[in-house]
Amino acid sequence: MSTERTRSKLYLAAAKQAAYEVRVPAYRVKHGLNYPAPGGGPERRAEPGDVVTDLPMSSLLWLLADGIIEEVTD
Amino acid sequence: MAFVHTADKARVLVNERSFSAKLSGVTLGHERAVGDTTTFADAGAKFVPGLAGGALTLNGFFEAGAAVHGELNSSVGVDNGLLVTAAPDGLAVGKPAFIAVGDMTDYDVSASVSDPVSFSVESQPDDGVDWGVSLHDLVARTATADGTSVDGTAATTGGGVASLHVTAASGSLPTLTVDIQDSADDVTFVDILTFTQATAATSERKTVSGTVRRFVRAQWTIGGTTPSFTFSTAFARR
Repeated sequence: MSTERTRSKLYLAAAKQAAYEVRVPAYRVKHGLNYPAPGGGPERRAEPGDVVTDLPMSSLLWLLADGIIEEVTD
Repeated sequence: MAFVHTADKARVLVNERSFSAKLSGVTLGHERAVGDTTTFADAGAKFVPGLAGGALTLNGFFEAGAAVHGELNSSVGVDNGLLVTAAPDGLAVGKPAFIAVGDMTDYDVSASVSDPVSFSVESQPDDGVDWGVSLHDLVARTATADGTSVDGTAATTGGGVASLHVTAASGSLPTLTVDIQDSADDVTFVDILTFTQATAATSERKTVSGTVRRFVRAQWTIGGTTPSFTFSTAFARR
């Protein structure tokens, strides 16, 4: 029983760690912007203050550099 | 590339009116004053660029109604009472568009025995005339959408000027908000300028300072019940 509990705890800890490692970066939008939806579909709109996780990878660099978005760290 | 004036394509918007079918001529002159910096040590005259200025002239056929005389007459004595966007080759997205806002200095109506009654308007634009591109043709829109982007080939740092002319609005409690957006990659677009929300025919000119990224476009948000707005917007980099 004790061994099973220990294994279970280890499994949960590993799962949490894995979840942390694949966590999708989130960004807080500081200026209103429009971006294409992943996989197509209608364009998406984000207003200042919105937190988004699906911005196009190709745009992240200049959006961060220009202060349009900031990474959410908390 | 030769630039050909095409009589059936030229479009001129004055405040919340389309004057295209009323005008026979438009002149938007951009001037730049220069300061003389010549010294005794110079063999020739030297100058530095000064303030921007310009002149705006409209020539057309007089109409007594609100569409021509009413619009022009209501601009007399009004600070920046004339907002003009002129597009010699039409207002399709990407076509050249010249933006000027100014005070009317002359409004003359001429009548003779043999000719139609005509008018001419002269105006002194603030900050000269800005040379840009159309970002939305003068067509009706009924739903939120964004326009085709225009590639400026590179970012610029001098800001810009935008004009919006809403010539018609209908529906129940219709609203229109037009943003000018820019982009470094033509994928994600950021608001750089937002016009005041329109609920009826109106016009507005706004400026933005700082960097304007390589691509620019218009984005519009329409609300209300069965709304429809006919509008055009243009943007000029500085």
